[in-house]
Formats: sequence, structure tokens, C-alpha cells
Amino acid sequence: MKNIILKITILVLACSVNVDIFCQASDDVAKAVAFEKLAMFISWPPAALNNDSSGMFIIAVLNNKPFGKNLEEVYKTHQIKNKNVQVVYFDKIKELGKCDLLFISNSSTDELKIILSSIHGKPILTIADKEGFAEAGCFINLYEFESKLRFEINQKGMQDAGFKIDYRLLRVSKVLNPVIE
Amino acid sequence: MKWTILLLITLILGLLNSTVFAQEHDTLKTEDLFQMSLEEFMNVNIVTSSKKEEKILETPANVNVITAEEIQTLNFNTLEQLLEYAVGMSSVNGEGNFFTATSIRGNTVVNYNVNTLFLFDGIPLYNPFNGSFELNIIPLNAIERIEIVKGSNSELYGTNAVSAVINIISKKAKNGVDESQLRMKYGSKQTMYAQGNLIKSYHKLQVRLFTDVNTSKGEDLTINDELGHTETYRDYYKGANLVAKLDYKDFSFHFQYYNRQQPNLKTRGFDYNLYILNSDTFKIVVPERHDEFGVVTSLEFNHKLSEKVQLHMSTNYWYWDLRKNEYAGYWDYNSKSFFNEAELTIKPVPWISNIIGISSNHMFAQRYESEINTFDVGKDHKWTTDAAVYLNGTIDIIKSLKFSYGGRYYMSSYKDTTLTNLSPRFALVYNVFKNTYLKVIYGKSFRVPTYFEKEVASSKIKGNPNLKPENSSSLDLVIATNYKGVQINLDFFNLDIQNQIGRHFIDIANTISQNYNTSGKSVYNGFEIDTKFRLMNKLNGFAGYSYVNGKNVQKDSTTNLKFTYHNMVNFGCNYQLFKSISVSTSLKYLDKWGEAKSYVLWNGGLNIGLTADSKFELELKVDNILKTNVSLPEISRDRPQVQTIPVTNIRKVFVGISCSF
Repeated sequence: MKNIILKITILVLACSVNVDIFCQASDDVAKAVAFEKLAMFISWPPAALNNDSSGMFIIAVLNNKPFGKNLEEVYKTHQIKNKNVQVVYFDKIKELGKCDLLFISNSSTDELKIILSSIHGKPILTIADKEGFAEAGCFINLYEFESKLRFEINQKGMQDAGFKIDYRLLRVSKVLNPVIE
Repeated sequence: MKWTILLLITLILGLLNSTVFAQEHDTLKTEDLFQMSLEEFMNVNIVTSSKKEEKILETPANVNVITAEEIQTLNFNTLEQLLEYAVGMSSVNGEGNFFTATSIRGNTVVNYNVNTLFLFDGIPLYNPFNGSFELNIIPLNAIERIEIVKGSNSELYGTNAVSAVINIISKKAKNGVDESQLRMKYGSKQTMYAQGNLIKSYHKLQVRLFTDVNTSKGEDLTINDELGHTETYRDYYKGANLVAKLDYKDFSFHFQYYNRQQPNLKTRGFDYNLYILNSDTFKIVVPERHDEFGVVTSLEFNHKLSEKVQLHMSTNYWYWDLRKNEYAGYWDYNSKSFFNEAELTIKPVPWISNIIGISSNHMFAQRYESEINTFDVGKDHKWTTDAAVYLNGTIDIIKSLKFSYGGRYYMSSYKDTTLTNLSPRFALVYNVFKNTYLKVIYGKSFRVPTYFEKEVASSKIKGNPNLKPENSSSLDLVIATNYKGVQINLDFFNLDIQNQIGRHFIDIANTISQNYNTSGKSVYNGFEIDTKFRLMNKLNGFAGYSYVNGKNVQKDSTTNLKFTYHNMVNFGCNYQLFKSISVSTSLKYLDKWGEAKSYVLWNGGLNIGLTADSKFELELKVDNILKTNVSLPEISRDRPQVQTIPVTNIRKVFVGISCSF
């Protein structure tokens, strides 16, 4: 009887090997940190540098104050592109002032078109977390796949707007509208 | 020997690999995420809101959850009303209508909620006088979520966790955003429900205030008394609650005050007021008036001692005072208790988690009768002291199989009596496939006799100082799944309660009296299905069905329990008609139980956003649309003349407004 128990225990323990590494984070925090990861591998157009007078990296958040507060908390002690981060909020696209990154989450596709047309030509990196937004013209879309955060990158859109993307980021992302070089 | 060496090698390998063996994943700090390379970062599991629902699916317990969103969208007014629509739960009248007891999974106990434990942020709202609690002492707007853990769970929670543990979790600032809300509803029978909350953060200090005021002139309800007369009485109500919470670093302070006035519907010894209307004289019963207040304070300390050890300590104080005003005098009740707990959560490796705790209570209760200027309960001012040690552990045997184990050893001392109890608990959770879990849960629990049950000495009821704790055991087979927005929890259960404490009629010299005693074994079998759905982002709600069969097993006979319902259906949903307009409806069907007839209770509501962001909302609500005559069995006296107690028979209309800022 003792042997049987021992054998069962060994089998159970043996079955327990070969499990993947898992570490977890809340989706809001992971998305906030993703901004810094993305910025590391993206170069802004020269126009952005020329217009930089504040010395801050400004993230504009449209219609999502809770996420913006989360960003503020995360970037209290962290920088993006060696700059302190400032989070600004607005409810209407007309109110949008100068910023380096625009986060869009609670908008419809129709609203997205209006937003994108109103900032067209400005050196603003647009990031969304809604399905179909990268296809609709947003530069980057964050999505979840098998409980992991993934990036969709609208490569042509970004290149046309003067952004340069490091190949290491493209390698781990889903690339939409790829640019053949 | 060969096997022993193999076992040791495997154990060592297992421990070496323990960092790669994680079902219960460690939550990373933000700093860790910043330090990661892009590849490492993209390998991090993220937990979304839907993932939190999955956590409930895989938890080694049978849990029904009600969220703040459901409370808000379904437009409920009070916690008591809300829980009427929880699967397998139904109110019954306690002493008169004052103490609303609750029947859970068919287990109906006389007068008080002694087979259910009620927690508010983990603080037991346990009244040592009657072992019970009152649902409406928590403002509805303070609730972030309600977890109803069914089955025998004394291992973690202690006494009374026989049928269920109702754990109320309060609202906190989400993502650091402050919020405030005001809500008021007014309607039929001059009924008003007003609620307000304020959540504000100042650096590391978070202040949370929740309050409500509920008043109602009440319905005129017709009842029969023990002399066979038909009488009318008014079911008025006044209540107010305040909850203040302060969170600073590892400390959390809780203060709660509640006050309420309500009639007690006695079915004997009525006092009357005479009224004259159109030259007809008629009488309205003046019920015994209850004035009650209570105070709860708690100080909690949570500290992470290391990556593997977390410390939790709390100390709570409870005070309760009730005065029953009768025409001939008054009865004064009070109780107080100190509850202390310390526990360590230890995770030596990521796949094992153990909670080891100790708790100690010190409590007292008494009752004074002015007419004879004496105490019957607590007359010798003796306190009850109890202590417990407990262990609750979880081990991930393999990635898809989790085992939970533990137990609580309890002992109490009161006068010359020492009571002890050991309540073990085991559970297996198997992840059958994605988002689908099979659980087998076995637990034992206990319920200690209350001061009232031990010492009451009125003319009609006699306590029993020799009562022993009730013992119960439950076995649950649960299938929990979440598929495309529909969450289903199917539970087949068996609950056995031995030595159930109850009132037993005795007839001495033609004087019928009731004595507290134990009554063999009660067995409840049945199943519950609890579903939640969210479809197309427009329709969300719940639907539940429960079936129970209750039997009383004596040495030589088995009889059906009179006060166990067989069938119950609960349904509620909210549909977003337009961006700012939504409609809601809720429905409950309860089968005949005792002498009370079956009924269908149907409510409807409409919410209209007055501003584009819906910060201001207009609320319309109609309760009991069908004007159903709802009555519940009279369980406390069980006399042939008085078989049921009326609850409602009119349609009630409310108009309200709410604003968030």
C-alpha cells in the first residue's frame, strides 16, 4: 500500500515538470509600460524635435480618464525617451493641443476617422486598443492574444508620417500595410 | 528503496523547477516590467477584467458573484431586495418582520440568520445575542461586489458558515480616480431611498465614505393573529447607515454606524388604534416598535514581509443595541464583541500557498425586560471567549489540477462549559478545457449556540445552557464555465446538518411552550444553475434556477422538511436601447413552501442619461408590476391560526435621479 502511494506521488510530481514560465501583470499597467517599450524602438519625425520646447514627453488621452490616471501613476518615476512624462486629457478632438503620443480607446471607427484627419501631418504617434483601429489608420493597436499583449503596427502609415521603426519591434509585431524595401 | 530515491530526486527536481511551475502566477511590479527586454515583456501574462472572472471560475469554492454594475443597471434599492434575486436565496420572516432571515439552498432556520455568515470587507458582522445579522446595514452604493460562497466553510470563516458565507466587498478608487455619486429615489407609500458616496485619494491616503437613508410609510398588510382575528398593520421603516473607511499604506480603518426603526409584527397581544372613516370605526394594529443602532470598528494591517510571506492582522469591535417598545414597557437588548485575527500567507514556491491563522473572540450579550425589571439573557454578566487555529492551503498538482486543503480547530469557554470542534475542508479543481473547470468540494462546519438559545427565559420560550454546536458537512460538485460572454455555474450539492438547534414545542399542563433543543439530522439535496450573460455589449443580466429537497432524519423516521422550497427561478437583465437609455427587468418565481403560496414577482425599470456622458441619470422603477400577493411561511411560532406572514400585494412606482462626478 505504501509503495502504491509513493508511486502515485512520484507520477504526479513527474507530471508537474515542463510547464511554461508565467509572470503576470494587470492589463492597464502592461499597456502603460508598453508605451515606453514602443518609444524605445520608434524615432519621431524631425519636426517633433524641432517643436519640442517643453522638455516633456506628452501623452494625450482621449475619453479615458481612468487609464490616464493609471499612466500618471506608472510614469511618476519613469521617463520616455529620457523625458519626464506629462499626461493630458481631453474629451473632444478639437481641444487637442501639442503632444507626442495620442491614446485612443473609447471611440468609434467614425470618430477615429475624424480624429486622424484632424491630426494629419502632425508628428503624433497614435496608439489604440481596439480591434480594427490599425487597419482604420491608427499607427499602433494594442491587443491581447493568448493572455499576452501584442502590437499591430501600421508600417506604411507610420513611415508616411515620418516615423522610423526599429526592425526589432517589427520582428515581434503583427505588421499591417508592410513596406517592401 | 528504489522508489524512495526516485521520489527524492523528483522532489528535488520539482523544487529546482519550482520557479517555472506556476498556475497561481505572481503579479509583477511595474518596475519589473520596465526592466524587461521587449521579448521578455511580450511574454508576460496579462490579467484583464474577464480574467478576474476566470479567477472566480477556478477558485476552489462554489461562488456566486454579484457586481456593482449589476446592482446599478438592475436598479435595486436595498441589499435585502437585491439578494432576493440571487440564485437559491429567499427571505423569510424572522421574529415578526424585524429580523429578515434568509433561506439558502432550502435551509430555513427559525428567526435568525444563524446558518449564514455575513462579512463586510472580511469583517464578521456577527451579533452574539442571536448569532445573526441584518442585510440592510450596508449601503447599497458601498458595494463593489458580493461573493456568496455556498457550502460548509468553517475552515476559513469560523462559526455559522453552514449554508453560505456572504462577503461584501466595498468600492475603492479605480486606477487612482476619485469618484462621487448621489442617488435618490422616491415613490409609492412615501418611500425614499437616498444614497451617497465619496471616494477621494490624497497621496497615500484614501478616504471612502458611504451613506444611505431609507424611509417608508409602509404598506397596510392584513394578517391573522393567534386568536383567529384578521387585523391590519402598517409595515413602516426608517433606516440610515454610514460607513467610513481610511486606507493609509498598510493600514485600513473601518467605521460603521447604523440606525433603524421598524415595527415588529407580533401575532399575539396586539395594541390597536381606532380610526373613524365615513362613520365606520375600524382598527389598525399598532405593532411593537423597534429602535436599533449598531457600531462596528475595525483596524486592519496587511504587510508583505517578503516575496513569499504576507502578514494580515485585524482587530474588530462590535456594539449593538435594540429597544423594543411595547405598550406595557420595553425590552432592551445589547451585545458587544471583540474579534482579533492574525494570519500569514506563505508561498514557499509559486505553486503552493498556505494561510495559517489564529483568531480569538470575546463576546457578551444581554436582554432586559422593564416590566419585571430583570435580565433573562446575560443576567450573570459572563462573557464567552473562544479561540481558533486554522490552515488553508492550495497546491497546483499539475498545471490543470489544483488541490485545496485545510481545517479549523475551535474551542470556546462559557461559564463551566467548554466546546470544541474540528472542521476540515478539501477541494479539487480540474481545468477541463479553456475557461471550464470541474470542482469537487467537501467541507465541514459548525455553528455555536447563541446567548439567546442558551439563556432565554420568557414565558413562551426557554433556552438550553447545555446546547452543543451544530455540525454540518457539505459536498458540492461544480461545473463552472465561461463561453463567449455567458458564464455558467452548475452546482449539485448535499448538505447534512447534525444536531440542528431549533425550538421544540412542549405542552406542560396545557401550556404550550417552546424549548431550544437539537433535532436529529437535516439533509438538503439539490442543484443550482447560475448563469450570467453579456451579449453584443447591449444586453447583460443573470438567470438562475434552484431545486432543493429537504428531509429531517430521526432514528426511526424520515420526514420532508416543511419549510424547504422545491423550485426557485431568478432572472434579471438590462438592455441598452440607445446610448443613453436602458431598460431593466427582474423576476422571481418561488414555489409553494410551508403554507405560503407560490408567486411570481416582476419588476421593471428605465434609466435615461440626461447628459451626453450619462453623469446625470433619471431612473424610473416599478416593483411588483403584477400586484402579486406575496406571503412567506410563519416559521417562528408555527401555530394553526397563523400560517403565513404577508410581505407585499401592491404595485410600487419610484422616480429617481442619480449623478456621478
